[in-house]
Amino acid sequence: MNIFEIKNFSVNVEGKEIIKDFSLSIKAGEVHAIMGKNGSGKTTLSMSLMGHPAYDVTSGQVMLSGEDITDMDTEEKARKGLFLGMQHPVAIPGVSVGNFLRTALKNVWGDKVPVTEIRKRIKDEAQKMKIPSEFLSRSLNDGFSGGEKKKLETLQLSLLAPKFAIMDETDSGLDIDALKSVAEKIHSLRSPERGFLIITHYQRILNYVKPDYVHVMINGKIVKSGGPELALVLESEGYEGMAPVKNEGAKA
Amino acid sequence: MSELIPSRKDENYRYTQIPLSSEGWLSEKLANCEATKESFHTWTSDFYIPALKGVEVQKLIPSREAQKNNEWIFLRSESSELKSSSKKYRGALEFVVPKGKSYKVFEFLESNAESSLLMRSIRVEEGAELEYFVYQNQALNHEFVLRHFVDLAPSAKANMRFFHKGSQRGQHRVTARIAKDAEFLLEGATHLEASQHIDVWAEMQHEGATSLSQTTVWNVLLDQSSAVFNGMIRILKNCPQTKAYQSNKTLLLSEKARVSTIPKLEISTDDVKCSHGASVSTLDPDQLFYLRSRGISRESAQDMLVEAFTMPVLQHVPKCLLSEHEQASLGLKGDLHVF
Repeated sequence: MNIFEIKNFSVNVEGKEIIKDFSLSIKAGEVHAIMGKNGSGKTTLSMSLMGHPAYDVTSGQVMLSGEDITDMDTEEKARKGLFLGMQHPVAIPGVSVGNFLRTALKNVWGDKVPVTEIRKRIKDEAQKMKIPSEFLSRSLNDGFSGGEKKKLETLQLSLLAPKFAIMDETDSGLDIDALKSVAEKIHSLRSPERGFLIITHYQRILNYVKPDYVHVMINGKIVKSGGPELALVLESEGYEGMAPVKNEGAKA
Repeated sequence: MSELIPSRKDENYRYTQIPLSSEGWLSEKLANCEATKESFHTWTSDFYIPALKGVEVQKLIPSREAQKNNEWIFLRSESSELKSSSKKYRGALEFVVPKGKSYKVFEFLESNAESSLLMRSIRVEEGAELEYFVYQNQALNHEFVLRHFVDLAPSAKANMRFFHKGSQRGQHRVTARIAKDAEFLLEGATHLEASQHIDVWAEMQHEGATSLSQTTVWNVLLDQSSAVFNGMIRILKNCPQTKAYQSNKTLLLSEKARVSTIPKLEISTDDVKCSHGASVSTLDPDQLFYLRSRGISRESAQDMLVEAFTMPVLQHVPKCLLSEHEQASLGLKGDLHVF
């Protein structure tokens, strides 16, 4: 069964079409990677799938576990089990990590889980990821290093345990050790019930989170799909050789 | 008395919602006044000090035990001076933080009085330190004038914070005299809705070299509420190396809400550093999106961001002095530093 399906999805940003008739189906248990260079539309795709108001979805359908979530509010998508690990998690001074995580879990889990249990799970999970407890008292992403931000995104992924997770350039801004630790955590969260879409520039993260399929995205479209070996080809040959690319702006 | 009543031509009163006419609220308080109460430590030409004529000036003297443990001194309106059957309350308080001592004072203003006129005169002696928090949560039909005169002796330090949530309208005026090497930090916030209006005046008078003042006021304005920030940095002659900063930040959450920011500088010494700035914004869509992407409802996310905006002040509320019920009714739920 497809855990996540994107059908004929098109997105405009400030009136310009960035994602063009994009389709992709991902089965439960699978990890797909989308690779593409800067400006290929990767972040537009991930933000619009989650429902950021600056991205205007002009057509298409998004299905999560067979349910149409295209027009749902962002928080509703999250509660249904969609997660977006962001490339640049925004800083929110004055909202503590602990308060944020508690509120998020309370909203997603409802009143079924008592607050004491929520606190315990957050503490336990943070401990497992070797995140010091002082971290939970800091303002959300405020003054965080690149590694800390991505570690927090991964902690949220782990706590929220979504059905499907889109990880947008989780590897950017990470040194080798941080990349290894974050990527291994993501890998450990693979399960037969869960799907992943890993969005990245580089092949590095895919050494740890081994994808079943790799797609190359150029100008808002998938131009080539293949197995994990495609990532290696890209690493050695670059994006230039990925034809056919129709450059609409270059018509004579 | 008429010359004591300000006019709209005065820049300081041009934007206020506080009525200034003879039928108005301030002038009503002035109606029975005759002369400045000389014993009260203040500046001259203060137009409503006369309203305190006949009011006994209370003295604040912390117990030896409280001083020893550096405990908060809790001025609670219903249990102390504001416990009054009078619907129009007038009060004056005066205290000195002695040389080398350190006081922490929490003033919690909550009552059913119709109006209040409160004067506080504080002297922080040489090398002494003061931490002061004012939380104003008066009934929504209340009108107030609240004045703090803070006189800082050489090398004295004071951190003063305030939070205004209640009252229909009011004026809070903080006037500081800052001597050589003294430091004054003023951080305040207002959180207003419906047709509430608050004027905040921050007047910093630097009277000695290498003194420091830093003022930041945050406003959160909903519905048709309005606020005025009236900032003045005055540096007298012969105060080199003085640093003085003021800033007013406003979160406007409605098209009808309004803020007027009036920063002023009067500098009579060359070698100083001063700045003033103001910003007006609405909620950040990226921050809202981030919170909502984790399942937090739009309403909760908005509440979190609003609370976060005034958190630089709220995090200093000595919550340990308030009951859980009070904390809940004040909306003090975000615990930035506690997990």
